[in-house]
Formats: sequence, structure tokens, C-alpha cells
Amino acid sequence: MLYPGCMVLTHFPEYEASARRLLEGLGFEVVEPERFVCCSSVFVPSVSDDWLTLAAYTLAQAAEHEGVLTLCGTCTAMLRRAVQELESRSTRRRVNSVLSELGVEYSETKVMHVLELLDGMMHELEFRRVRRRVAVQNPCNLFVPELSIAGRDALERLAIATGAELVRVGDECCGSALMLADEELALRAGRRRLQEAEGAPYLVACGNCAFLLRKQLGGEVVFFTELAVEALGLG
Amino acid sequence: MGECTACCRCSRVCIAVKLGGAESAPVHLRREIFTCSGCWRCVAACREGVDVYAEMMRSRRGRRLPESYRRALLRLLSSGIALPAGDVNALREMHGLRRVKLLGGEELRKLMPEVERKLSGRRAFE
Repeated sequence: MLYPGCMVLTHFPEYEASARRLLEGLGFEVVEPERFVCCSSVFVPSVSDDWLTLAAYTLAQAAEHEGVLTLCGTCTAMLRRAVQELESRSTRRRVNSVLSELGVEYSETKVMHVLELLDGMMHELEFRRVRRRVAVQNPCNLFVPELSIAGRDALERLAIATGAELVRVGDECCGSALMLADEELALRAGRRRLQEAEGAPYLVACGNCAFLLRKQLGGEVVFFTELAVEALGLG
Repeated sequence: MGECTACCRCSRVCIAVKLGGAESAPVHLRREIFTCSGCWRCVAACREGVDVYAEMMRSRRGRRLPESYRRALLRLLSSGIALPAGDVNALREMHGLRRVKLLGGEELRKLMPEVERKLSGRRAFE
């Protein structure tokens, strides 16, 4: 089940479309959630433990599928955190008593970012060389220890595998979510990132990074799924 | 669960601190508790096993909610989407994506009763 998350749903359908093309090209059958709802993001946990029930609703919809595939760092981290919390039987019972009113039940599922899935298959794939020059913007919270599956260099390895020229930049957060509390600080963080890349587009794996770097600051970004589709000849 | 020793490792990896937008203190104890990029590098940096993210969320619950959060939560309670959204299905159709169904207000209130209660109380507005 491919879960786009609010940012991709509202701003970057081209990211979801290229992810779908990539996944189908790799032989996966892709389904959407029956009913979409936010993963809870930073908003719900800031006021309540209701975040867990909300995240569990999305997870429960994947019950009949092989798992949840995500496109942003925050959705991945929040849904994985929910999976961890739901390992407790009493928590699961409490959450399921609410979910049952909506006709779903959480049993067990796994959450994976599409980048992690692709990274795990890299050795089996043959990429055509692409003529691109990119810098890498990691989706930070994808790489939190205990939650992470892919290595921190997954985006870099993809860029190298496709023959793209890599502009080396520091591994720093783009600062996108700072927009919520301090817009000027977020813009400063983003401008700093763009300067570092010296005009090269950022290869991104999260809608939040794309939102700041492209939508707010007019920088160029390439979604990793677009690069993979191009290099695998799936376009 | 570990205990914070105020070593400030979490603060040293924080982009908000590096840019001068937040004080250099354990991130879950700082004044600018909402000034956060959500990168979770603080979680990865802690050597004491403190769940810095969970602690930060706990600290937030005792503070006044920024307007941006309040608006996001109100949207979330009514549409299931936290961000301002136009016609998401029209956008999806333009890109050859299938339509999505959103949860209704009644269902969302069942999933987030405490959020609704807190938003309808005075505290979030103060």
C-alpha cells in the first residue's frame, strides 16, 4: 500500500506518480489506502496521544497487503513509531477498540520508505547512465537508529549507480519543518542548502525537503523516484 | 528509558540551534520548544537512551500552541489533511493518479477525541 502523506498529496503528485511507475516497473502491485488520513505528523503528538490511533488507522488499512510504503521522512518515522508502540498488547487492545468503530483492526504490518525498498534491490537492477548533476538531501528522520533500514548513503548510492555527477554537500537537515514556528529560520536553512549545492538540483526523498527548496525558494529538486524511473527506462 | 544528563549532544546537532534560532539546551527543555525541523537527529544523538522526541512532545503539551499548529489541527479534524489543500483529487487526476477518499469529520473526531476537546477549550487559544 503506497501512502503518499499530506505533503505529497497536496503538493507533489508527480512524486507519487513516479513512485507508482517505479514500483509497477519493478513488478509490485500498488494499492492506495481505502481512506486517506494524515500520519499525525508533528501536529497531533504535540497535543495528545491520539496520534497513535490516527497512525494506527492508516496501518490497519494495510492489513491485507504486504506493508505500507512511504514517500516522506516524517510519515515513515511516525508510522514506524506507531508500529513499535502497538507491539504492546494492552496498547493494541485500547487502539483497536477505537478502530473497530471505524470498521478496521490493526494486527501487524511493516513500514518502509520506497527508497529503502529500492536500496535493497539495487544489486539486481541495471541502470542506464543519466546525464545529471545532483546534490543529495537526505530525509533526516528516515535514518534514526532503531527505526532505520537503509544506510545514510542510500540516495548517494542511487545517484552513483545512475552515473549522475554528485556535488558533495554536508549531510544537514534542510530545515523545512522550521516553517511552522519560525519561517525566516527555515528560509535561512534552505538558502544555505541551495548555496552549498552550487546550482545543482537536490536529489530528494521527502516532500518536506521539496516544499522548502523548490516551492518556497525556487530551487531545483529531483525526486529519487524520477531519477530511478529515468535510469531504469521506465518512463 | 534513560535520564537526561544535560550533556547537550541533542542540542549540538540541532539545525535550529546551529542557525541561532533556539537556545543551546537539551532540546526537550528549551524555551523554543516548537522551533524544530523534525529531523530527529537529537534522538539519534542521545547516548543516555532518552527518547528525546517523546520528551519534546510532552513538553509541548504544557505550552501555548502556535497558530500554525492550531490551524493544522483544525484542518486535520475536518478533512484528515493537516496542510492547506485545494481539490486534491483534481490534482491527482492531472497526474494519472486514482482518486482518494478522505475520512469524514465524525470519523476523525472518533480517532482524535482529545485533540478535539483541547482545541475547543480555551487553552489552545491563549
